[in-house]
Amino acid sequence: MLTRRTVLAGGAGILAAGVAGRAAFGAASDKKLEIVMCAKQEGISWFDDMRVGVNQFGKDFGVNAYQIAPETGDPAKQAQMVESLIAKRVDAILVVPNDPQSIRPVLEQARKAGITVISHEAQSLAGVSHFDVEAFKNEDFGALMFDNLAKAMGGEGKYAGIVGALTMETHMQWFKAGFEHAKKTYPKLEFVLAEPIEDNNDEKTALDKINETLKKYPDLKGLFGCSVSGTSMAALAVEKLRRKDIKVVGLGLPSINGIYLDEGSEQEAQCWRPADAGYVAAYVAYKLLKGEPIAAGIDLKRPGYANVTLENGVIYGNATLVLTKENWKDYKF
Amino acid sequence: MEPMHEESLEPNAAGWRSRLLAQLTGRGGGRGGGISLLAGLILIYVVMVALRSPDFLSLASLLDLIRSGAAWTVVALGVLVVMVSGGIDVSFLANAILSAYVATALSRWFGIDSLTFALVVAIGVGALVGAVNGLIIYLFSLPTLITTLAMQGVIQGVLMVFLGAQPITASRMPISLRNFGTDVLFEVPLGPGYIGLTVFVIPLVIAAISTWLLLNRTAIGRATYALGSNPTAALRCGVNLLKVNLVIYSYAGALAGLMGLMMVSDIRLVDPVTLVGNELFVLAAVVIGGAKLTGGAGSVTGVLLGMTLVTLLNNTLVTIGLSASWNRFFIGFALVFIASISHYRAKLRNLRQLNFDNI
Repeated sequence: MLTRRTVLAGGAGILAAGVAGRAAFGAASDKKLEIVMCAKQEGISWFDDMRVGVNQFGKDFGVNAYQIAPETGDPAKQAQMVESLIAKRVDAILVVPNDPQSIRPVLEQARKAGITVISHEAQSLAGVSHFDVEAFKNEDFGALMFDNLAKAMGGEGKYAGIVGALTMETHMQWFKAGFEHAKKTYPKLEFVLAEPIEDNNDEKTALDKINETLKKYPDLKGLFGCSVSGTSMAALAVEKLRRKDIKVVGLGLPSINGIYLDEGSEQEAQCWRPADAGYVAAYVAYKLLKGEPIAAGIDLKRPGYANVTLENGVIYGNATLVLTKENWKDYKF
Repeated sequence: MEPMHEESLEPNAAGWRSRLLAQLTGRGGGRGGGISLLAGLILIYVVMVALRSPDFLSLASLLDLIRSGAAWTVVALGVLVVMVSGGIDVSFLANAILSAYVATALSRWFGIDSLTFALVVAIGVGALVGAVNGLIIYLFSLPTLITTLAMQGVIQGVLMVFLGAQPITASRMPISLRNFGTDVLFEVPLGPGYIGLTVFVIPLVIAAISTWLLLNRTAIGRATYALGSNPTAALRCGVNLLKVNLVIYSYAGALAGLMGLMMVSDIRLVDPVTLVGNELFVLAAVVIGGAKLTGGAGSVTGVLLGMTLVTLLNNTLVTIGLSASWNRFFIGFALVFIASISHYRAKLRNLRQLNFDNI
């Protein structure tokens, strides 16, 4: 409610509050900086957690930081919301785009209006936004996934895996990097498929494909999932077929994969913490607004972002979060 | 196979070759011929897969096929009934996920962990939504496609906006539903583990028998075929359109609700955005099974076989080592093949009867 009212009031009263306010007070020294995260969607636990981080940043640094998002994951609605933030003349816009390509022109508009723009989960927007913030390098995330798989499998045995689709860039980056890493590091691991199976991020498809794979390769010892649906359904298939000898790792969320970690049908799930990503994005914007330099090696004050790397406008943390039976209950997303 | 719609096959046609020829040229049976053609296609495909991967011919494959296809088949039977009447329902999957969502949410709300309760709610909500479909179609004489397409949108709106539906994850699902998805009637060893016959086979068999009875042993069923074949004649004969519409759309809705609950139990996740979008896959299976979009034709056996073929195509790509994109190709191919042959046969039959309707 707060967010919607502010947006409306801002849109309507831009002359009164925005321009006049700025003119009267001059520099922003008296006025709190306004840093707004426009997330993908309202009401899903991932972005609820991100809001926690954004709000926390606001408290820690005494700025007006908050999060808005479209009710559904509609790219057009999200672009509209960013437009109203421009009209409201906020100081910084943070964005996790539903569709990087369709939001690009709006972000360019924001830059022209002198607003600081930080993107997250959109490396293709680096350069349009001042910086794109990523929790990790995809190559590192993939390698870690296969390290965890190898560890769970005791370093040997046959394995298979699932991605959203062979055309999904992020999933394939994880898979390719992890696969190459495993070939070098764990020679006794054997990938039985020509390429990973695809689930189109759909649970039913994932469950069917994994069941079929387990039927064709009954001596399988490990499964990895690059999609949340793939990892959780691999764990469920293992449970249904009473095959606890098969180890499952991959991308996962506490809210979805926690139960499988508890039941022991999945060994580890990896992800990144949305609250920290939100906090760090806000912090980068804050530093830019204060004229502080952004460079490789700076500390962005969150776990895994203490010594970030910077390449082509993308800030990489080393913030992979590995969920296990022991720690998953600490997280609420 | 329904006796009332079946022309008998030529007695003792010599060998399968002459029988196949007879079917392809339309001299053989009517829809019964289509059924055996479909059965033949399934057989050929199974042999092809087995040649490539001999392990495929196993009890485990059959059990997995049943688990995978049971829920889809249940909803397809409802789609069949509507299609026989000459209508087309595209709201069934939205209805399914709504029913499953309401059933799960109410179970959590009241703290009732009972499969029976969830089943009653899901089937009840499904039937109610179906009845609304039927009523609207009757009252405003609207095209069924438009009505049910609109209903699909309305249902999604209700879920997302009014109920503010969030995914209900495995840990928050009632234990009874989670067990419904994993319980088996018996198990056989598979590798170091076991594969079982899912309990889903019980609702599947009940749905198949009740659909067969509804279509073939009731006045409503006869009226449904009559409406699909020739609506004007059916109405002149005194078919009560309101009654028929209410019964068949509620029935299809009830099966959708049942299917929704089976599906969410299978994958242990109630996500309001799943399911919807797969309508054409189900419709394709029903049409492959011999139902006509124009109504008046279709059978339970046909749906069972059509769904068997489509499920087989979906669940053998890893076995034969093809990427997922191939299943669209295979399903498309089967659809065109079956539709062309049945149309061609109808054309030849009509020509012989000097009927030039569909030349």
